[in-house]
Amino acid sequence: MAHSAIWIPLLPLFAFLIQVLLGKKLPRQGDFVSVLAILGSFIIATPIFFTMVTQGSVSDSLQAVWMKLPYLSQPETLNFFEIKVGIGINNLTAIMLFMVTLCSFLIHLFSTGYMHGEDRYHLFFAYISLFSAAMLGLVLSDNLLTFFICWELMGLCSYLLIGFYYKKPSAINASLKAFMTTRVGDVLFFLGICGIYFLFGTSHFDTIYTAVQTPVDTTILGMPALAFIGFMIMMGTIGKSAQFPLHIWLPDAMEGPTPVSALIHAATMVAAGVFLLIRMYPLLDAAHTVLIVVAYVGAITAFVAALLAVVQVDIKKVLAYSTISQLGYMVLGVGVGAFTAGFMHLVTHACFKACLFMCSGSVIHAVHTQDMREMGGLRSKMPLTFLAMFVATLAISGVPFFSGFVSKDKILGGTLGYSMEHQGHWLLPLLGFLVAGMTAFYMFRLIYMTFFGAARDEHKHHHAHEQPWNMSVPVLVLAGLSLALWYSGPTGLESVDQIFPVKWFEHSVDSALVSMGVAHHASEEVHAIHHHAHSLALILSLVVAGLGIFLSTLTYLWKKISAEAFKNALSPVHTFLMNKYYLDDLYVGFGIQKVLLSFNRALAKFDDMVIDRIFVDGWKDISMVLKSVIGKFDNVVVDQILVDGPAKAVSAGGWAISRFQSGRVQQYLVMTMILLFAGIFYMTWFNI
Amino acid sequence: MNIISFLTSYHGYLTIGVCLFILGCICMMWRKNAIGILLGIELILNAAGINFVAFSRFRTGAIDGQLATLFVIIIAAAEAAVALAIILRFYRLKETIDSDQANLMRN
Amino acid sequence: MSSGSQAILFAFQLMTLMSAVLVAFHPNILYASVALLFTFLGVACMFIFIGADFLAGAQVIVYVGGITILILFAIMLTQWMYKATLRDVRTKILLPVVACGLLVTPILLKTTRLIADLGPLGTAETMTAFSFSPKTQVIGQALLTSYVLPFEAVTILLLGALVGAVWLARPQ
Repeated sequence: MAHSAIWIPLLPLFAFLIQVLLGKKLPRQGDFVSVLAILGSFIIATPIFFTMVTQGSVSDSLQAVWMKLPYLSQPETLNFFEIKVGIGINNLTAIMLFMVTLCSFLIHLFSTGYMHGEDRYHLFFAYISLFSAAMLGLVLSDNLLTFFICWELMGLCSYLLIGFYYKKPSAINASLKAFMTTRVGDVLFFLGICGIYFLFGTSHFDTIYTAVQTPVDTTILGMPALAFIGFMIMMGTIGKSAQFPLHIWLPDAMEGPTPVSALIHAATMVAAGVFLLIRMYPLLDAAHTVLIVVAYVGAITAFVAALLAVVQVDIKKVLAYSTISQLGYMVLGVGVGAFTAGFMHLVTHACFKACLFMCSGSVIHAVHTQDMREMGGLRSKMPLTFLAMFVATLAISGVPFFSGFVSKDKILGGTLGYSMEHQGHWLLPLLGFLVAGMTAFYMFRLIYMTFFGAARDEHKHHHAHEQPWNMSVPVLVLAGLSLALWYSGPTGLESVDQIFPVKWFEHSVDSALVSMGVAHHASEEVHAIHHHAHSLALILSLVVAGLGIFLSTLTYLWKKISAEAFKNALSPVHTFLMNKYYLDDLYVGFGIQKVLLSFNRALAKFDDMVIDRIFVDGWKDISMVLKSVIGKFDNVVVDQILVDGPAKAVSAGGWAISRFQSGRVQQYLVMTMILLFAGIFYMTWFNI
Repeated sequence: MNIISFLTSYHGYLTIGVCLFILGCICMMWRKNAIGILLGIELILNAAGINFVAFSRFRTGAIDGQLATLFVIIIAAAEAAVALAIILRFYRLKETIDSDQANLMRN
Repeated sequence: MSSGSQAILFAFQLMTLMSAVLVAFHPNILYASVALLFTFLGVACMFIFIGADFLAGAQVIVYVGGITILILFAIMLTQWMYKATLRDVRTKILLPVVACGLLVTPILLKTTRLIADLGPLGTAETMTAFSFSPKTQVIGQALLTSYVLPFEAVTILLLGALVGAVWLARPQ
């Protein structure tokens, strides 16, 4: 099974390569290549998924050694540090594969209609194919190294796709902001990976799961090692899944085309952060302090984002803040230990949020505006879109019989149970329920402002029309998936009940938990507390959701309460919210301008003064000195002594000898006499 | 033996011959004037003549030495005539008889 | 030899030597030429005391009467007389002295060593008797009998020298 699963990320990767190299020249700019590739991935993923559903669990793996680095552990003992990579399939992976490939396929299909007529059309499909390949690779990875590689690859695709309309400066800024903000989280995440290699020598998930069973004593930087790693991993999630301090990039990311928002910022990439938490849950559980921090981060994120969503007028911004809020829910769920609930919310959120985004895309495409104040009364003009969007809204608001209700209720029950079990954490359920009500409120506000009431802009209303099939079919499919019946309980439909056992989702995820070694065997009292909590949560969530819907209807449909009056009364609060808590100004104005830039300038000065002056100019001075020394040596010794010397000697000798040839006879005579007498002397002296 | 008896004996004549020869060489090598060189040559020839005659009188007793000296005298005369002709010619060329000016064979 | 003759001979030898020194070293060329004349005379006198009377006469006739006059003529023809007051000396005498030293040293040393080594020289009487007879007839006979070839060669040489000298010194 793994051998076929390896093709799941590879098919979109090949589609990316084909699109990038040949896309412009293919007919229809090659969109069918991408669509068919992702459809192929879906077809491969489906049997895996159904095997898991019918058999209760599935597992397979495939591994290979990527790098073998030699090192000396003791002197003269050669060891090899192996970096192994591979893919692994388990229950969680199977569910994610199915969800990701299905959503990706539907969004590919939607894009063929939405992006029709754009230039760089082929590049769009190249990018979302690459993105799908990266996400599927991330899901399939069985070790943190390839997980991180795919994580970064998705960040790259997000950058490329947010900045797709690169001629708009706001889009460029938004893509850079997204990349940089997630980068902050990614660096810390990578530090966590280094910590894992340091502790365990491997980043293989299964090995980590077994290794954290035994208590680990080492410390990193004064903190217990597991807690340090846990916090680093949490930072990764905070960056990628837009949790509270680093959530600023997601609303700006709406500059990208709507299919991008649907795929990346609703269904898959932001879900990757939560998926990381889920994958690393045994480690986070073993590090005792991390999970509670995670829970608070999630709760605060959910509340902060929901508040902001209430005042937005741009339809996509509402959905963006809604995404942040729901991601906060997922993180909160994992933090309080409602692992299954968090994961289920991830899956259900993917479906209905993608649907919401695509429907909003249809609306924007029809009305040519994103401002909800210019919409209204579109229900008659775009019935299919309205139906899909309404179903998805019901799901996100937590209305029973829709998927969102099941998962959200579980999370809220988990928070309530947690706060009952551990005294003093009452803020978590409080925020949870508050956000549930606010979610219902602003989502219905969106629906009422867009589809109901009188048309606020007659001209736009006149031109609105329903979308072609390749845009309406995907949203309807996703809307259908937003029904609760898929996830739990007997449905009463014979065929469905045969395939999907009762509570198949929970059981598969629970067995995944067991295989990760996390299953807590709680005592009877804890069980009772949780049971009590779940019942209470059920009632409370219904109350809260109903209240939210009622208030929204009152204000926006029946116009009994004036939203304008509210806004004017609370205008300082409104301004505060409209400026997004001045967080952007804080980060950019203070963080970047003051802190980082001054640090940057200090470093530059250091580089200039110290390093350049000493090392670079110093070398220059040294070489100047050397040059003069060597020059003198060359000049005096070599040139004057060795070269000129013999020349001058020869010349002098020649001159000396030439003095004998003066032409003067008497001198010749003298020389002759000297030689003659010397000869005579020689002969007579020695008696020859 | 005192110097008088030495000088008037066989070896004395030879010694005088040597002295004249030396002085003739020095005169030949030392004088700037071309005619000065000629003076030196004459001295040398005379010294040779004395030697010949001394050998003839004190060693062999034959007349050959004196005849040799006679021929030396004859040849010296011829050679002096030619030399002076050359000097006259040189004087016409260079307007001087300084032997330092006779450097046309220079280098 | 009697001591009186020895003394006269010694005087003439001294004159010869001193004149030769003057010839070599005197700055004035005219003085040197006159000293040369006296050298010739001294040599002629030495010839007489050694028994070569014809030779002494030939010496006086040829050398004193011919060559010295020639030299004086040449000096006057080349106007050296007007410059005769100029010093005709060089400053560097080292090389000639070194050369002559090279020659003189072994000869003198050998000579002084040989002073004691006097081989048989022929008897004193025959030498003396032979020496002081007139030589003219003997030389004349030898010239035309055993030395006739050098005699004839010398005449040709003299002819050649005469012709050559005349031609060399011809007026332009």
